[in-house]
Amino acid sequence: MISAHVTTPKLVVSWIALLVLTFLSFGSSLLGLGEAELFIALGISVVKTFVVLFIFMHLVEQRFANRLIVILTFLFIVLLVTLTVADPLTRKTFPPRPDPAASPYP
Amino acid sequence: MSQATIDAETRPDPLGVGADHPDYLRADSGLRSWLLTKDHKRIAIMFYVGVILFLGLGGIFALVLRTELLTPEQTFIDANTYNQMFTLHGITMVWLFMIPAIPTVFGNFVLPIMLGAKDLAFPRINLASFYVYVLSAIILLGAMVAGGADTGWTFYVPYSTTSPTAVTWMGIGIFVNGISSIMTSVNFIVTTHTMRAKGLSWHRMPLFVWASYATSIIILFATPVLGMSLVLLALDHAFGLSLFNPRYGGDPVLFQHLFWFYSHPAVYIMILPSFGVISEVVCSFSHNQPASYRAIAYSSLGIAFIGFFTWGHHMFVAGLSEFDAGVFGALSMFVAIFSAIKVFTWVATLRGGSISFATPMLYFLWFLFLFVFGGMTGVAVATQSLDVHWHDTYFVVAHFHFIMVGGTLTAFLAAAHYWFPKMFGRLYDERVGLLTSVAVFIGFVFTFLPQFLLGNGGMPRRYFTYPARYQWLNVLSTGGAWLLGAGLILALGNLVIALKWGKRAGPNPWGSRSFEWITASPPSKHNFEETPEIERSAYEYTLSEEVARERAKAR
Repeated sequence: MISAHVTTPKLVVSWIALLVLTFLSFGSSLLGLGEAELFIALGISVVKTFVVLFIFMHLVEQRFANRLIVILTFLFIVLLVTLTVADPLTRKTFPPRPDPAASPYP
Repeated sequence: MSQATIDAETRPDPLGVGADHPDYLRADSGLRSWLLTKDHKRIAIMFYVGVILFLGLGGIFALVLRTELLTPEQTFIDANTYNQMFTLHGITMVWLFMIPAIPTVFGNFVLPIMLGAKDLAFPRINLASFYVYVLSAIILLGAMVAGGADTGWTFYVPYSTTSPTAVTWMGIGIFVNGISSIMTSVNFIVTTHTMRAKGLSWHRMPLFVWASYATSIIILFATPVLGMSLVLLALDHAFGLSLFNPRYGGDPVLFQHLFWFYSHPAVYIMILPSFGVISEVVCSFSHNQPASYRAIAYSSLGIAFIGFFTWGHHMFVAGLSEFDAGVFGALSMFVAIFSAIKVFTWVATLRGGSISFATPMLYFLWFLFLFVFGGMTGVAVATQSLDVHWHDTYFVVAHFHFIMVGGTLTAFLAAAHYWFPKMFGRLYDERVGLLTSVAVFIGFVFTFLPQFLLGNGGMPRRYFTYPARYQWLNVLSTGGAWLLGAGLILALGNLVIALKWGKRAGPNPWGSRSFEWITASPPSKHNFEETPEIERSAYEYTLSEEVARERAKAR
C-alpha cells in the first residue's frame, strides 16, 4: 500500500528547497573553503538530485523495488567515483615512504 | 501426477504447441512484413543476418592483419593501413558482433518462448533496437570509409584526441550502438519480471533467462558510462576541449578509468549470455538436470556484480596508484571464483547423464577448454607483478581472445546449431557440423596459442614489424586464422544448406525439457494461444517427455 502522494504544496516546498540549495551552493563557493568546496557542492547536488527524483519524478509514490533501482544506480556512481578518485589521491601517499627529494643522499 | 496417470487421449500435440497455425516464417509474406514486424522471432532473424555480416567483416579485417604478420617486415599493406585494420577489427567484433550476438539473436528468439510469453514486453522498442543497431552500423561503416580509426578499439588518450582519423564519428557510432543494447536490456528485464507463465517461478526458469537477465543489468548500468566517456572524447577530438590533457588540469588516466568502467563489465556482457547457452546445451545433451541450478543462476548475478569492481586491472602500468592496483587486483580474483563455480557445476552436470555428442555438445567441450585456459591466464594477468611483464604484449591478446572470443564464438556456434531446429524447423548435417566444429577449434587454438608464447617472449601487440625470431610462431598463428576462417564459413554453409535441404526436425529433436521446445518448431506467430501453466522446472529429466509436456500445459 502506497501512502505517500506528491501534492501541490509538496511540489512548491520542494521547488523552494531546490532554490535555497542552489543559493547555498553558490554562496559556499564564495567562502573560499579550498578543497572542501568541491565536496560541499557535490553533497548539495546529491541532495537536489534526490529531491527531483523522489518528488518531481514521483519516485516517492513507487513501490520499494523501483526506489531500490534508483538507490543502486546512485551507489554505482559512488563506486565509479570512489575508486577513480582513490587513484590520484593515493598515487603519492601509498604505500607511505619518505619523499626521495627530501633526502637525496641516503 | 505420476507418469501412469497420463491418459493417452489427453497427451499434448506431438507436433508441438501452435503446429496447427502457420509458423512465424510463413504467417506473413512480403518485405514489408519483415521490415515492420513486431514479432520477436523475426526481429531475431534480422539481427542474425546483421551479426553474421559483421562477423564476416571483422573476420576479413583479422585475416588481413594475420596475413600481414606472416613476414617480419611489410608483407602487403602499409603501416597506417595495419593500424586501421586492428582498430576496425576490434570495433567491429566488439560492438557489432560479440555484444549483440547472443542476446539479440538467440535471446530475442527464445527468451519470450522460454517464459511462456507471446512476445517481449515492448515489441516496438524491440524493432527500434534493431534499427538503432543498423544506424550505428551505418555510422561506423561510414566512419571506416571516411577516414577509419587508428587508435585501437580502446581509444586511449592522448593519441585519440589528436588522431587525424574519424575518431569522433566512431565514438558517435558506438554511442548509438549502446542505445540499441539498452533497449534490448530493458525489454529483457521487464519481460522476465512481468511476463512469466503461470507457475513459472524464478527458480523454474531456464538458466539462459538468468544469464540474459544478468547481462541486461550490466548493460543498463555500464553502457551510459561508455556513452559519456566517448562523448567527452569526441568533444576533445572535435573541439579540442582538452578534458584529458594534463596541461589544462586534465588526467589521461581518467579516460582509462571511465572507459574500463564500461569495457571491463562489457567482457561479461559478451560472456554471460554464452554461459546461458552453455547451461542449456549441457543439460539438453547430457539429459540431466544441472548439478546445482542455484549455483549457476546466482553465480551469473555474482559475476554481473563483481565485474563492476575490477576495471583497474587494465591499468596496472598506466600510472594507476599502487593502492588502487592492489584493490583492483584482489577484487579481480573474485570473478575467478564465480566462474569456477560455473565450470565445476557444468562438469558435474555431465555425471550420471546420458550424454550425446551432437555438434552443440562438442562446442561445449571447446568452450570449456578455451574458457578455462583463458580464465586461468586471466588470473595471471590480474596479478600485478606478472601483468607488468605481459602488459601490451601478445600474451594479453591471446588471453582475451581465448576467454572473450573463444567463449562467445563457441557458445554462439553451439546456440546456432542447438536452436537451429527451433528457429527453422530443419536439421543440419550432423557429420559436417562435427567436422566444422573441430576445424573451428583447431584453427582457434593454432591462432592464439602461439600468441601466448609470442607475448611471453616479448613481442608487443599492435606492432607492424617484428624481429625474425618471432616469425615461426606468427606463421603458425596466421595458418590457424585461415583454418578458423574456413571452419566458420563451412559451419555457416552447413546451416544455410540445411535451411533448404535439411530434414524436418519435429518439435523437440534433442529431447530437451526446456520450455522453448514445447512449441512447434518453428513456432507459430504468437507462440502460444494462451499463457501456459508451468508445474515443473526447465530441467526435469527424471520425467518422461510426455509427463514433462503434461506439466507444462500450453495451447
